[in-house]
Amino acid sequence: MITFENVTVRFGDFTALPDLSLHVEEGEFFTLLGPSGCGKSTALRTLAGFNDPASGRLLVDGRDVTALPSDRRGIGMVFQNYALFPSMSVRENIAFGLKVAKRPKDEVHERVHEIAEQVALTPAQLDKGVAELSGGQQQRVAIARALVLRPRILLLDEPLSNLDAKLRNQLRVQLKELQQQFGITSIYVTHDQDEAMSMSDRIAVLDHGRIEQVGTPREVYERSATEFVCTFIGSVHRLGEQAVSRLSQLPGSPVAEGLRSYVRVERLTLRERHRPNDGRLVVDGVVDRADYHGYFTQYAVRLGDRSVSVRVPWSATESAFAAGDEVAIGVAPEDVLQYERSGPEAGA
Amino acid sequence: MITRRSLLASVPAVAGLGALAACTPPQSGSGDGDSETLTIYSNSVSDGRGEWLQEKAAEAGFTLQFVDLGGGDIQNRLLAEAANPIADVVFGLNNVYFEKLRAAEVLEAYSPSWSGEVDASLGDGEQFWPIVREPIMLITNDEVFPGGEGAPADWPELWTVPEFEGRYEVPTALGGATTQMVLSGILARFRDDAGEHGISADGWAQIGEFFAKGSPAVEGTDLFARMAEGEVDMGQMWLAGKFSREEEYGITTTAISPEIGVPYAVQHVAKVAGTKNAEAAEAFIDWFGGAELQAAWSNEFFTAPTNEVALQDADQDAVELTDSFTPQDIDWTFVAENLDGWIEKIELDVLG
Amino acid sequence: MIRRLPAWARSPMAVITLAVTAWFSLAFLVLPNLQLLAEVFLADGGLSTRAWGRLLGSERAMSSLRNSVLLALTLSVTVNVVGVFVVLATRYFALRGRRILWLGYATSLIYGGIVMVAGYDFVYGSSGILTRLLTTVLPFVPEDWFVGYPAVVFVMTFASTGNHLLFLNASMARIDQQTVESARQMGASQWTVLRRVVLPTLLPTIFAVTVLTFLGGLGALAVPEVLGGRDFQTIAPMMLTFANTPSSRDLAAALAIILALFTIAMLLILNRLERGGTYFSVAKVSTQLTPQKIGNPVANAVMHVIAYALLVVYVLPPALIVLFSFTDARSISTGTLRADSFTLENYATALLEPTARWPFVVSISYSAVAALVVILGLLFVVRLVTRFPRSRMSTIVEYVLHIPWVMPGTMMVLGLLLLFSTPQGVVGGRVLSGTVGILAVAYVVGKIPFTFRLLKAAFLGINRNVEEAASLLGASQLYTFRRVILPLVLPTAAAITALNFNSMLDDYDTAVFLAHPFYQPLGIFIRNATSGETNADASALVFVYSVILMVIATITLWLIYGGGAARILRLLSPRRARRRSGDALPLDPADQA
Repeated sequence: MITFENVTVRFGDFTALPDLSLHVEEGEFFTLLGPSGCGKSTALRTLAGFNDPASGRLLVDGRDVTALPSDRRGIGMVFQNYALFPSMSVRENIAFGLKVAKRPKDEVHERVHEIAEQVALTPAQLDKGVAELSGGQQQRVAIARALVLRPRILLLDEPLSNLDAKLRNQLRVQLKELQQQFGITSIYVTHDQDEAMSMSDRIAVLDHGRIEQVGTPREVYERSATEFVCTFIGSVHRLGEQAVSRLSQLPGSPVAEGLRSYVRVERLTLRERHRPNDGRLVVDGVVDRADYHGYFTQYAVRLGDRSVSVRVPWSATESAFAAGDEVAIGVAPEDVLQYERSGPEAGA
Repeated sequence: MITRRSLLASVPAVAGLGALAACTPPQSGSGDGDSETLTIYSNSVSDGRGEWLQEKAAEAGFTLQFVDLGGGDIQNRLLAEAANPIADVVFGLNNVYFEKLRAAEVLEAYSPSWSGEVDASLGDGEQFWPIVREPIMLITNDEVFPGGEGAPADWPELWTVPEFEGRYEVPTALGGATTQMVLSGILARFRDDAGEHGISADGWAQIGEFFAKGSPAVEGTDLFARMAEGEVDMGQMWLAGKFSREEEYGITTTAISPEIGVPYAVQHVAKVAGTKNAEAAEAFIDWFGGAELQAAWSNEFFTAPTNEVALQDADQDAVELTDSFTPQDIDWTFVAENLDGWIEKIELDVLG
Repeated sequence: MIRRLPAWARSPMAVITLAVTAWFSLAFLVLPNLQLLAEVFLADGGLSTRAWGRLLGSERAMSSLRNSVLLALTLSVTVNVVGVFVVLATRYFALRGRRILWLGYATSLIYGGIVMVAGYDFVYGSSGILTRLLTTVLPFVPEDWFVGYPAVVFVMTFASTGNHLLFLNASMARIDQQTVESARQMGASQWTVLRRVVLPTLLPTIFAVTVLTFLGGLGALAVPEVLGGRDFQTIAPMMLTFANTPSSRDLAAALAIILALFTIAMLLILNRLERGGTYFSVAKVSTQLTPQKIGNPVANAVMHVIAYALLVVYVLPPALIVLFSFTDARSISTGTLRADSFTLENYATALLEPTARWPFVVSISYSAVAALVVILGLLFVVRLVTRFPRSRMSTIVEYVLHIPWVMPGTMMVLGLLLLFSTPQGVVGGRVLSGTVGILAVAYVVGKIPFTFRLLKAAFLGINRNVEEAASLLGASQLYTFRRVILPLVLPTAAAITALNFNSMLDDYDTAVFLAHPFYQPLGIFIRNATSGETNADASALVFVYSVILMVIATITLWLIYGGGAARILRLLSPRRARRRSGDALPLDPADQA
């Protein structure tokens, strides 16, 4: 439905997006994920019509919208800072687009109330000034304001990052529900991988304006295409050359030497020493610290002069360890993610 | 949001005021398109003189509208408006200004009906004609110099006699007509066509001393106020100013009468070139400079008319006092040519 | 095809705005000045360099120039120090009687020029109250102690804090109570909070106001003239003399060019600083800042003492002006009061003379029309410039609109007069000199830079996303401008309008050249009534007129700031206005972010 075709965006001498190509399907919840400055917001704002591409085309339903002014693109957008109209009441904010479209009064009234209910705003709140609402409520107004026009495309630029954790989780679910209910094609921009993973149908991971990988959350997580994606998403432990060498020698091991190798911390196992290794590479260490998180326990394990963090999910069968316990860390060869030595030194 | 409303509220208020601008000013006949109304530029219509003249003129069948500005401002305006003159008549300025206006071809020759009753050599005998003359004097406070005793006998003594140092006021703004007359009166004594701006090196040294040893005027504080306070004992003044101020500040002063004479400011009247009301302008000049009106003006405002026929009916005290000084022999054409250069040089190199 | 055009060329509103701006700038900013500069510098078919030699050779000109720059730089510091203190005292700290303090400090907004100097003279001058006190207690203090650089800086510092009071006070609203509280909880001392949280938030406004202060110092006329003494004369009076002497105008122009270089340097520096910061706060719901109690009792006492000492400094001069406006000329010029000094005659003369009211009407009308025209026009222009901040078009527009700050007022006015005294194609072959309109044009032109800068700050303070949101909701540029942007900048616009209106009421320098014979504003009337060559009792009249102007200025400010207009409206329609209420100190762009 939405296609970026070799889109390049420059700000003066700075190229924010070099040659971006991307396709988003109808009804999809698509996320642009990356660190700040990776170009994800630029891509979104270009689609909204706020940036002029230096080259390339933007297609919506096969139609070229590159030169279309933003007020005629029929796209809804929710901003990080809500971007409500401070001089208007909540009701006026939500009704704004309908008034612009010169909808009849009754219809405006009806649709405002309908959408307000859907985003859980009370009628009393409708007549307040926007400054009188809390952050979460303000963002609900912003969402309502965008949805009331029933756009086919909804852009969300870090909509939850100004909210506190609990509210964030709550709105995350509601947003996703609304998206499914309306069937809106949505592009979501965030630097929060949790958000991206839990909400998206597909994720595009961006770095320095280039797409590193596009895929489902599972693909991106489990089969990270590049070293950047691997290290950006989730927590990984970088394996030393010796460990890689030993892993490669295990029977049937896919691990090759001479590549950068990572393993996700939750894939590491922690056992008492001298138990059978199940085909894993096992290294002895001593528990430095154990942090109990309920559904998992995070251990800091000392291996000689290095410290490795291991995340062990709660289990009724496995025993817990305490500081000072002698343990063995295990790595299964199939859990090792390997990449060419291409990019700059990535932290492990 | 209250503030938003405030602006909206002030809009009608302001618009209402704006509408007032469209209404007719109190003095004009029926608006600016009226060809019968004469527009007169003058520096001598303040202090009730304008109203008095308007009244008299109305009796004589003229409708007058004044632009009441200082001499320099009137000159600048007339020069800038030369291509599209607004004024019909200009009066009240002294020779220096009129010489400059003449040189810029702002004026038009007209010989008034009373041209034979005045000394044409006071003006240029062609474009501008004299109406009133007034001496520009050095005055001293009687409390310090009773009856002028011990006072300097002439301007140069101010900076050559040590006792007077710091006791006389010198101007700081050089744009005023009186100031320019005083400077002309001093500098003209040192004419040297080979010198800078026609003044000898000695002349420049003298004027430098004049400023260096004087007490600079204080903007906003009158000379008489400073004399009353004892800050200074003497300074420049014109005749009518001396009398109105003596009364106001409750001190008496004496004007010194140097042997070389004092500069006379002669006020003139002239027709502006390109006026759309040439006939009315000429008629007004004939009436205004005529003996009858000038005598009345003299009695009303303590001036000495130049119209000899007017003298007998004029205020005799004013005439007598005016005549009690010797006119200094100054070549006003020479002054007009060089005055701007003098002012510039004094601003840049002399003051400090 | 279409995409080759710059972004602004694709917006009809931008193109129209730009076309009008280009025409106006060409006709009234560029051509008049070119005309004058040509007249001044092109002598005998060649470029004249006489002026530069004359100026460089003049010790007085050079030292005056140095003094002007020194004054401008000094004021940029002192005005900010006092201005920030005054704002902290009235808005940030919980001092006793903050409202009275504010009103007292605000007196600097309603008078200026020679009358203000006279007011200070009543306190510090050779027969002033303080001087008499000083010389009695400390006999070695000379009567004329209040003179020269320190005196000039002192008076001008207090006179110039009005902008702080208006603009900085409002940007205090940008500070979040929670931010201050959390900083305090993290153990930051009150001083640290002030330095690290409060002041950085105020910085953009401080920059904007510093430009005004700097320019005020550079062009200072009345104060140095009276108080500078022999050792501290500035360049403005000299420029004025030269500008008024046809043959010396090249000197005035040359000086203007030198001052312009300083002005441009200052603008460039501040533009750079401005660009360095982000100026809208992220839209977190802020809790209105409540005045902070000063914890340390000593600091608290010191703060109160300074605040009230300043109050006296601020209030005494205008109070004495009002007092002396009821006395005769002798009392005024000598600064002494006797039992028989008091008279109502001044007021009778000023108010009852049949022709005396007309100049008020003319002045108020001109000021109102010009203030409205300039704000309405610039709303569109600033919108254009801030919408396309990176385009070369915006840069050019911005520089052109600053021309009136660069050229001295007299030159600007003479340029207009000279150019338009012959038919000009650019205005449809008409002659404008001598018409009622040209003075209004000159007033509008003169107010452009000030209005432009402050409006620009207001526009920059608007969260860009807000208009983007409107655009995505289908609103056209014009609709967005009208319904979304305008309400946000309106408070600032109203305040600027009030300030512009007040500042034009007593104008003389422009009117003297351009006023229509029948429509002469108050400034000319005042000057004529008071110029030394006429009535000796005139200084009393100046005071009366000044007091009347102070009253008008106060009413204007009350309407805009004091919620006066709102109150009037509320009386007219009690039902509508009830819903919203609040602190009616608008003005800061970032309030709305």
